[in-house]
Amino acid sequence: MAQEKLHRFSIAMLIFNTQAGVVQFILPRTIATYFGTNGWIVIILVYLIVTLNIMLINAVYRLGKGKSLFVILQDGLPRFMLIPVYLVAGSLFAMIGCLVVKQYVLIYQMIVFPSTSDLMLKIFVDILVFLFVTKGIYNMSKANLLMVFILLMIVPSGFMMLGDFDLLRLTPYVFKEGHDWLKGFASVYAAFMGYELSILLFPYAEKNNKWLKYVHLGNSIAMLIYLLVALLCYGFFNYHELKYLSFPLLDMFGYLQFPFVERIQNFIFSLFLFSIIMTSGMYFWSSQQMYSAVLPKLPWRLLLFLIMILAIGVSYIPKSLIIVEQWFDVLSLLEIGTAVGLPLLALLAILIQRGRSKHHAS
Amino acid sequence: MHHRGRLCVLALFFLAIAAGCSSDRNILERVGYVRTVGFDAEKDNMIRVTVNIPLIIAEANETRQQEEIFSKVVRSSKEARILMSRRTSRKMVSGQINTILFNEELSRRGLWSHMDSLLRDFTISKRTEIAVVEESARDIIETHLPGHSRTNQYIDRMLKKEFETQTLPHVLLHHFCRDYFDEGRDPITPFLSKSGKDLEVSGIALFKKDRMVGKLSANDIFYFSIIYHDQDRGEFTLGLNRPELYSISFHAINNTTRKTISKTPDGRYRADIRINIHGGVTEYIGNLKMSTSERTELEHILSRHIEEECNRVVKKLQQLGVDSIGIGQYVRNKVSYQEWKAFYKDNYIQDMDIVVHTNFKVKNFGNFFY
Amino acid sequence: MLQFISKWVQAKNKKSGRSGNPQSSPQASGPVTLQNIQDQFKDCSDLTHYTLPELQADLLFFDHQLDPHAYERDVLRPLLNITKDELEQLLRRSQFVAAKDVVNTVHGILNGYVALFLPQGVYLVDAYGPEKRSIEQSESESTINGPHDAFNESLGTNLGLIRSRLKSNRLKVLQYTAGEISKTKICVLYIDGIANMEYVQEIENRIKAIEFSSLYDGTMLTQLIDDFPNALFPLFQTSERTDIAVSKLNEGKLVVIEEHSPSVIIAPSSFFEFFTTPDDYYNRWVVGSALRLLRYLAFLITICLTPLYVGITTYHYEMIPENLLISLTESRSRVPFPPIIEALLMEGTIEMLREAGARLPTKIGQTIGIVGGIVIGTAAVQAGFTSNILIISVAMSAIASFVIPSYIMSGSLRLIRFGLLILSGMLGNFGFCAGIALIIIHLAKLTSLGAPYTIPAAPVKPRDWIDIFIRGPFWALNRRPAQSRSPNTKQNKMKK
Repeated sequence: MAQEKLHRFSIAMLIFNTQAGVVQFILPRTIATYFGTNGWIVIILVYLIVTLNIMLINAVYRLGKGKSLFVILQDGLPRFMLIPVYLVAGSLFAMIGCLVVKQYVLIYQMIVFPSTSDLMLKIFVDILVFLFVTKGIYNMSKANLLMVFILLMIVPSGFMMLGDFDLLRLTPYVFKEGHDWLKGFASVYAAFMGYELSILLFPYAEKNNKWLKYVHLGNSIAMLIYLLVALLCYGFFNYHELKYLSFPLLDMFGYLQFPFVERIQNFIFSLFLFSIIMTSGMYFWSSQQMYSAVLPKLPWRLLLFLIMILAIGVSYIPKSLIIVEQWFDVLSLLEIGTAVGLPLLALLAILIQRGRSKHHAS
Repeated sequence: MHHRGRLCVLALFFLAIAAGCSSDRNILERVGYVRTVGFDAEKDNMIRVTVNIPLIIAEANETRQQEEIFSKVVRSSKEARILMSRRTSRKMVSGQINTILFNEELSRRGLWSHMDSLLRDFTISKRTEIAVVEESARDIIETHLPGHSRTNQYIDRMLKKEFETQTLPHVLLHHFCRDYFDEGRDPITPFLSKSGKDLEVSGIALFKKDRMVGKLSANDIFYFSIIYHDQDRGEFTLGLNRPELYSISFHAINNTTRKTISKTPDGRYRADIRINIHGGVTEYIGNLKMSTSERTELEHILSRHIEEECNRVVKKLQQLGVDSIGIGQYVRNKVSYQEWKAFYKDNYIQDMDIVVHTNFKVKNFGNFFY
Repeated sequence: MLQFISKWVQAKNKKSGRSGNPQSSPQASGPVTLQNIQDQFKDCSDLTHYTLPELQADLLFFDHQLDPHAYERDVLRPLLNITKDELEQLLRRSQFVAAKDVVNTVHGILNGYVALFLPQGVYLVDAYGPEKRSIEQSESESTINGPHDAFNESLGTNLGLIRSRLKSNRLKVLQYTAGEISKTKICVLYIDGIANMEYVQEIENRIKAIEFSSLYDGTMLTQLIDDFPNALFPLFQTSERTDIAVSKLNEGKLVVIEEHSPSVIIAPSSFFEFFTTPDDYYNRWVVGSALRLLRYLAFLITICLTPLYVGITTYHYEMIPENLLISLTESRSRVPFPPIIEALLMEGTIEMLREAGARLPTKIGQTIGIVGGIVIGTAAVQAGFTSNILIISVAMSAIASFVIPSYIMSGSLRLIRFGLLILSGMLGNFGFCAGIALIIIHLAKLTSLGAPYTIPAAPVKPRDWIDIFIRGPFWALNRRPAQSRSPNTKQNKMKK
């Protein structure tokens, strides 16, 4: 039986879960530091910009008539120009995929396993990611759906915090006492990263334009979750306190109590392994796609294996969470560049291609 | 393909075993989880840390419950932990702390330096109860009060019960920190003291940032609570030396508190606190008949009395310069950012006119129709 | 072991370059004579040779394969009541079929035909009707409401049970044989116009590709035709219940009946189908839905409870609420092992008990139950071997595992529990979640007859949720499940 196409709802969830990750635990603090009072509003602003970027990607799909990104680029541009692009983008994706795991593992090490080697934990997660990615994008999307269902079950627990939520603490001021807006903007934008990988999904999606809307849906769900988290944190704590909390969301989950269990924060954080596997898996998959375009002869699973080994090697360098976050700052800037650059390059390729065919026609 | 998958899974299990053989295990019965910590002030900025660890001893077929109690004079609480862990047979962990006690002297010195280690530690719950004790926290933790359950359980259950019945504002570590950071509010904690063979919630400790500056007596807790927040249960009793009202007790207190801010012509801020209270009478000694229109008269007397008392409490807060009732938050929500910055300074509450208005209504007067 | 044998047989076949099995294929050469056929059945002492000298007739048959009545009616009585001259006339009757060749004759005899050797030629008469079990209740899938007749080992009976419930000429039965020695008949049933023909084609290919010497049961057949031989979970639902088979046919799925097996196979199946029972449909829909949710809860308990206990008592002591803390510490304090060893011991004991109970006759089984109950319930705790809270947890997961309707699925889940147990014991919640992730990744990969195994959760088919996660009211169950990819999706045209 022919391989089924990715269902559009699967794509929405794929995008959402690639975007979400450890960042939710940190985002409220970042926002409070850079934007101060009522910083959660910035999520909506960034969301709008991200939406524009997604529309750019959609335009590539529409103009390219559903052809794969690699086909579009190769039709319009010479291969020697493209290879560096593929290599850079592939390496960037691989680094992000690896650092996501690294960051997660370092946090986990800090809160639960202070004396377990983080390398060991990281390889543990990396093997899961490898198993995940080798199943292929279609099975990844299916696994992702199951994981998302489990993750979304956490959301209702947010309502249990409403008892300690007070609008009074939100204050009526907008973006007062923040600093470094630009930097803050970049880090909030980085929280939305993951949507740009939809440009690689063209050949795997249904052959109609409907699924493009579902990329927006995935992005909107991510936005709603971020907004919920940030808003809850602003009303549960207050923005002064938020600046001093490493992981406000964990503190908030720690506050919950159930009859059989309490302090569920480390269980919740463990569950976010699902999100990490997805985020990291999608980036490694994209990286492999990029490299496969350069080395089409190599079996893709072997290529993936090599990429992951290399990335693990590089990710061994940063030793502390702070350094990982610094690396992330740099990488996310590059990633924003890629998110805008790749679709623009593809549009350019389409234009050149059209110009050429017109030329031929005349 | 399948082969590789299986290899990976095997590797995963192997890694789990390798990673799992770490020293991060905290097997329940082999760790000594601290339940109560006490901090006392000592000379030269030193502190005395006292901890209580329940100990369960298994001998043959019996298990006995005991407590290990350690006390050390140290610079910081983590230092104490290192010193104490040399004396116990188990690994000392702080994930099950449920009560933290500070003595009054230390609280008046300022708590923030000790809070740091409490907040930095991931394992300490934000649900931990904190309280200020009158004399020595060590004394309370070390003595087993006859006729009560073990001290750690006693304090914990007592505070939980008080929070539950709303006879005390619900204040945990989380609330303390939150109010510490909030500009428009100052933190409070319950105040405990030893009276004879019992412990007693004898008031509320008022903090200015992290320094305790004063305390409200046990009688003021009710008035403070109704200003502090809305309640839907709780009880109180009062007596006046008047024929109409010798003594009266209420239960099922239900109050709604509205705080409104306005600006007086001379540029000061004025806060009006309007409190509507409903309560059911459980006891009444006096000469008014509640089943008749005389009830309104009684309600009026009560309203005036509660109003006076509330205003007295507010005055006291103003004198101490602490905004434990969060008036600042309301001002902040009323004015522009510049105005708020101009207004916000130490002791801003002293510059305000705060007036409490109360309206008391008897909800029912029980089974005895008189 | 069996797989190994089959591989060996396959390899041998490949070597000799023959597709058939030399042990069972009669030589096709030579004329069909009594001598020739008897040679083929050399040393088969159960072959009956019956002679009628007055007709110069010889009968060869296996009498245990025959229905005595049919034999008497169709073969014996006609032959005894005629003279040699009338024989010509008699052989025109339709039950006498001329044998084509040796292979045909041998197969005929093996399949319960009576071979009639006459000077005029060789004829085969069908008198098949071996001994069979009567229709009884299913022991492994008993029910309170609903039909109590279950499939038995007879193919004819099983087909009859289905036919009598679906009186439609659109119910098609395709017949194949598999097993090089056993030559087991396999019937694929589907309803024309409802089932997707791609599946029919696919299953035909797979059955034809079986190269296994003999097949013993439908549950074994599922493993020979499934998509992932290494899958942890059963990829096809099997059942002995007639109502399940009929309802699945109606949903557009295929039913595969293997001769000599009471378990019929339903293909394709989804993971969640293993948690449904026909009883859900016989109860009011609210009750049925509640029961279904209960079963999913049992699923969670059976795989999660003990691993979580181990993870929490080993690593995350802070997650225990204070009301449980002291009693848990107390019961743990006398146990000399770490929680993981304790849990593995108890889970292992429970599994042994269950396994022993499954094999033993009922009367001794009860003894096992009592001994086990005393040993586990009381003595182990009193001796300080385990904590009583673990006993509760182990017992709850054992009970929960029996709630799951499919015994095969329940076995898979119990195995998973052990994996999770080890992971939680080693890495706490982290290991537990990693284990769950592993299971999810594995599940997502699986397909059943090419259809996604985790449908309708992934890929998402919200329309099916009402008949998988709960049991919706009948007016709402108006579509066939997406997994059947039926050309005729509307199932129920009833209005509310």
